[in-house]
Amino acid sequence: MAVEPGRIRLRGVSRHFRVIHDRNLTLKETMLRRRRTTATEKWALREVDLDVEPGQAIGIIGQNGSGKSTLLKMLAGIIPPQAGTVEIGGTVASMLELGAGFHPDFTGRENVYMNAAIHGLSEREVNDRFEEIVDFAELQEFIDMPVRTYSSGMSMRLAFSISSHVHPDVLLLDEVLAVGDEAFQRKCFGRIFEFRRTGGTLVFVSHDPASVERVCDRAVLLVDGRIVDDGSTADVLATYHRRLASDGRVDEPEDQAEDEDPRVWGNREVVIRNSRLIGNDGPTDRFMAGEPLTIEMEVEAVHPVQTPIFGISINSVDGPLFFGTNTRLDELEIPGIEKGAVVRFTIPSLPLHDGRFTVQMAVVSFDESVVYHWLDRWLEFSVFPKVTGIGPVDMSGGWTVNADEGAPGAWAASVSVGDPDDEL
Amino acid sequence: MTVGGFAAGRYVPLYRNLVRREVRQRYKGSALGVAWTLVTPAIMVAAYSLVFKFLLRIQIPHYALFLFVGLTVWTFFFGGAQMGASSLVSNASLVTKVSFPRQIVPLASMTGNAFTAGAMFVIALPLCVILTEGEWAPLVMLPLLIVLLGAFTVGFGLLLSAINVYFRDVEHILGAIGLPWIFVTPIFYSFSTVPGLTGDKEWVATLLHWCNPIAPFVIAIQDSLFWGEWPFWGDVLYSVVAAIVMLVVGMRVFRRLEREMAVEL
Repeated sequence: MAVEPGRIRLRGVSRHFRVIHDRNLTLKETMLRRRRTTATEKWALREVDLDVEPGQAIGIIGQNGSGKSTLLKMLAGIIPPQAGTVEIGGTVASMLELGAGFHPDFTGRENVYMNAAIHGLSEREVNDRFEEIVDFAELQEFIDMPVRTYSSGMSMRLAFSISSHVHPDVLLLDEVLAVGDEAFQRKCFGRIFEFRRTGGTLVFVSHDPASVERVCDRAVLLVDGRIVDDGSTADVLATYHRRLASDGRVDEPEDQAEDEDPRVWGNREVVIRNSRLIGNDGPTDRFMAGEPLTIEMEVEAVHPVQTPIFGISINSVDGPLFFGTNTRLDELEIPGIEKGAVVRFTIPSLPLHDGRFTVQMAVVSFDESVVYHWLDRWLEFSVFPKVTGIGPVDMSGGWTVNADEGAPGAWAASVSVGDPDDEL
Repeated sequence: MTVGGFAAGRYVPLYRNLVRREVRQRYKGSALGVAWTLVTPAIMVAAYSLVFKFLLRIQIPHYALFLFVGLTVWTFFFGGAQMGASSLVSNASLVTKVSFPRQIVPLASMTGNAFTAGAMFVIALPLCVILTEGEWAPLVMLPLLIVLLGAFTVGFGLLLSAINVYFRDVEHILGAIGLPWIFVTPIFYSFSTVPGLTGDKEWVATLLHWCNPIAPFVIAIQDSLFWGEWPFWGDVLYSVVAAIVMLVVGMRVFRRLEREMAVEL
């Protein structure tokens, strides 16, 4: 193989899968149905050309089913391409699905040796790195206990630690950083940066744009098995978000209020028949930070009511309330509704930054003693960051540093983030 | 498509670890542990001795030992085939997530099984030397016969393991034919001692001898180990040919089916 260590070269790589509707075929079934197998061909990758230089960190992004995992498995040598060539120089370690091959009845120590052997390490190499692996995983006291007694976080930590001590030329990472607590995740990122500093090539697949941005200097965007964009991470992520925002139109079901849904209650004198979120390009559930967001409710009055109030609130998916208000608080007088109404609440520039959020909506009587219709956590939407930083709320600002003020070597620096003319 | 031009040596630790796991997994958490390796065949020997020796009156001296020798060969072969056949499916999580030569998995399973048969052999060998009246010289054939049996078993196991990925029935079919197969193999009897197989029924013995690919292996090993006689050249030749053919076929088929295994599992 003429490829230098750390280099990846893909030429015209294609792969499709036969999606058989009934898995686990038995011999008998195959004999009997020889001609009638209901299989559909699904392209996972089409004509993919990709070159990665040694030492580069490349992110592969794309929606579910876009071929990311297939590409990664191909790089790992698990799945062969049906056309084209895959060449990788040097040793490859993959962190696809951490802990593959952990055996619950064996101790952490035994599993370290087993797992390292899977990655191609010799016993000597494992001996040399054993302390380091255990220290990194913070499992000193537990290493001689069976893995089945570990919490899932503990086994993940151990698995990550082993894979990251393999020192390959090319490291393949798949969504693994969602493991462990915040502190351990930070350690993982530290480990990955160290790997990059020492000149390793990194291929990173993730749904989480923020972590791709943190780790990679280049990204490719896969859509339906083809590479549609390739460039700096920021550029490709921007393309990705634009695509998501325009693809993300939501199909509204006819009548959203289901009777048994625990998120819904009220006496239904007034019913919220339909509701949706509207962004710059119409209905969607994906927003860029800073975009306008409108919550729209179509309300039907089964019986005419006097002075109802409408309310909304936005929570993050894991619970905490970010904002809530209603028409009475905002002093909008609604004398009564005879038949129906369309109610909109518009946020001109969404001050959220990154994450998933839910919207709840309600119609209640003026003194809130009667709930007509309450839809709890009814709509969900994602916000994608426009500027640097992490967290759900956009509080981007500027930095200034004044060093050694008054002294001879004084210097000052400043940067501001999120200026309107400083778009991605 | 390959991953960094692997040297086979790189995977030796993986093989060793898989074997260790295979062996330890089998007896972990059981009170008798490795002793089960011998308890099970001991019970079988006792039960079959009762039936064949006392009820059916098979006339073989040291019948229990004769049986034990045959069961050792059978355990090595059939146990290996069974372990091998199911190995890839039961290690699917490994095969679908990591790249390595897949042969390692069935090989490790079969090696794990060989430990069981090996323990039986370690008991059988001195007993045969002490108790039976034959010569010692034919024992020199044993290493060759064991290598041939090993090659035949490995070939068969590789073949079944690869096919089993695509048709899970293989495992079950194998389980189902195990019992009839052991009965047509001269393990509980030898062809010359069964009344129904002499005289004008001799062709049945001939059929059972040569159409059952494992029978010549069993007979040759019984000859040199139990009877202390030089094995019949026909049995040895048959074993050589059968071992080579099975090994080549098994490896070929495995290599062909190997590429898409991760997709099928």
